[in-house]
Amino acid sequence: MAHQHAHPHTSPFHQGPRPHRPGRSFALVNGLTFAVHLLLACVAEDLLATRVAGQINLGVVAILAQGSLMLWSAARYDRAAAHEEAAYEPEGEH
Amino acid sequence: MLPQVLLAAGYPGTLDLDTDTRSWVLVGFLAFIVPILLICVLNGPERDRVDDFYTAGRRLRPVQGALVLTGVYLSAATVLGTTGTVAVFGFDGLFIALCTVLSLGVLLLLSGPLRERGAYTLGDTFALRTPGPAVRIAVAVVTLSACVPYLIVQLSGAGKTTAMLLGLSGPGAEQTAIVMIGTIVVCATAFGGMRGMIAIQVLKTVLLLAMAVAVAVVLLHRFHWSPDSLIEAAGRGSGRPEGYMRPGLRFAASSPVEGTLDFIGLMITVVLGVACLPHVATQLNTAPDAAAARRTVRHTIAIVGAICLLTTVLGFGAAALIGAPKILAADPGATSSLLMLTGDLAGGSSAQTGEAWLVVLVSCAVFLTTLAVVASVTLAAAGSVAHDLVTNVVRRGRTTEGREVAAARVASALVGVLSICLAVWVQGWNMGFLSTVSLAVASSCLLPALVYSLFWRGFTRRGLLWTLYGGLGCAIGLQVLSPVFSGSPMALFPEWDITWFPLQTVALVSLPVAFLLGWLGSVTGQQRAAALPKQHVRA
Repeated sequence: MAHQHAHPHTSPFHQGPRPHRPGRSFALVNGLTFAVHLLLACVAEDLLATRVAGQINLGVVAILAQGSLMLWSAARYDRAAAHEEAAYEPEGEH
Repeated sequence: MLPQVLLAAGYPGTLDLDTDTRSWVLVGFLAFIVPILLICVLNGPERDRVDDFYTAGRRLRPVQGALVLTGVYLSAATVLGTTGTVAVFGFDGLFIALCTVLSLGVLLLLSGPLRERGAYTLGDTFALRTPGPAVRIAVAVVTLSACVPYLIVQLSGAGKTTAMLLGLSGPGAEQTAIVMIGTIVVCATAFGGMRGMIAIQVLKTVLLLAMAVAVAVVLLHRFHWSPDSLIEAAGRGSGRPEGYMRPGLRFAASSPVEGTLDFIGLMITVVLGVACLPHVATQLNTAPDAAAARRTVRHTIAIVGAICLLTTVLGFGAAALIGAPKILAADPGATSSLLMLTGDLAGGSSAQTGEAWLVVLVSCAVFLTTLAVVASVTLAAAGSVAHDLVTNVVRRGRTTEGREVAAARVASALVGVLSICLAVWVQGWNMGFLSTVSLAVASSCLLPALVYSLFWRGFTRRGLLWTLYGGLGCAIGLQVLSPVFSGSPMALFPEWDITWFPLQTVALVSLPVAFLLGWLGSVTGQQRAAALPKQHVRA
């Protein structure tokens, strides 16, 4: 039940920064894929240069994929964070 | 830079449009810019309320807020720089464009907690858990260190654009243009505040999108809507077709190890730095609440992504139609590529009046972009001086709203005048590295401080001060000792040689140092941050 996390009659700041699980998974997913992507760009240049369709190579595909991941995960995070805030609100009220 | 822009032949000279076209360009330009500035001033707050001046009443809905945030986020240097970097460096430019979009992810994570603080400036954000004048002063110093270099770069660019459009060339014309533009922007900011800013930013974003779409359509039409032929022509135009679509061109001149480290450093600087620039972070305060702030950033990601995608297409076009050597000859920072591309698409030296609309559109967009970013950075810097230094340090919080708004207006004028004078003084120097300094300061000081302050309960005042001053000193110190500042022909001071730090980007060192200092300062200090009293929660 969500009630066991509640500290009734306190403001959000009073309990300090609360653990933000949707934010953590958003940060992890995007951070890790970016790190891997950056690493590939540094050490696996030939891999990224393999042509996929005409002049488009794997590197371009990877960049577009990373951008799309950011868009999709941002939408997910926004919805999840809104749900989490709605769950906290009833317990914060007197 | 720009007198050569619209000349197909490529030798330095004045603008080679015929007089008719040039007058159309000038008329279109004036007919456009002047009403915009009037709108900005007339939209200003009716009453002298602090909330109105800094945050426009916190009523901005997410979609409108996204247009404003996009405007704040994309400076002229970003748009022109991305186009130029893609044109000259191919894949590395694409990666930088990606990093510009990814930085919004960082902003998204920070947006909820930042907006919950209900602050006007970054000083407010930090002071909520670690109050005191020392913190305010430190944040103001860092804010100004990030804002003033940024302003200088933007004002110099604006000076060059204006001088070109008026058909003048030479340092005197550019300096006059800088003073003119700077004065207009300062007045607009001082009178309009955040409300005027919002009007300008929305117009700018719409215009930027329209411009990018228009030029991209004309360009792709020239290449028969085939991305393959565009990219292939771009590769040929860059002079290095085999390496164009591979990573590594940006730092090809350095040794492999340094080049790799510089590459990583640059990408990290962009991803972590752009979101933490003071004017971007404080823009979130115009949202009604934390959820709206998050939604705003989420919509901004989509708009910025679209614009970055279009600018990369334009970059390819510039390489294909103009060629990297000519772009670099006009401006070593490659920021001239968009305008040169437009000139070529509009017909080059035989430009007819009918095709001048493209030139007008692009010039207005670039100019408005510069104006808007100068206005918003000036507002952020002025807010820092007026709200943090004057209201909270000098007057210790005892002031009326009217006086604080007056202080903010005066501070806008002062910051503006300072930046104008500096921009005029450095006119003619190679100032590209100043935007990197600005980003380095933001990523090395503000990011660690924000992350610790918003997410770590154990962060103390001492840790904050160590992070801010330590990160600032490290970033600027290392930048001064880097090859960008002295020691190489492309440096700011080529005759000196004080290079001790081998890399061009400093974030790889200064960012971990700032995090470490923040942690050390907090765990070794005696005080813990005060628990927040209830009444500080602002809706």
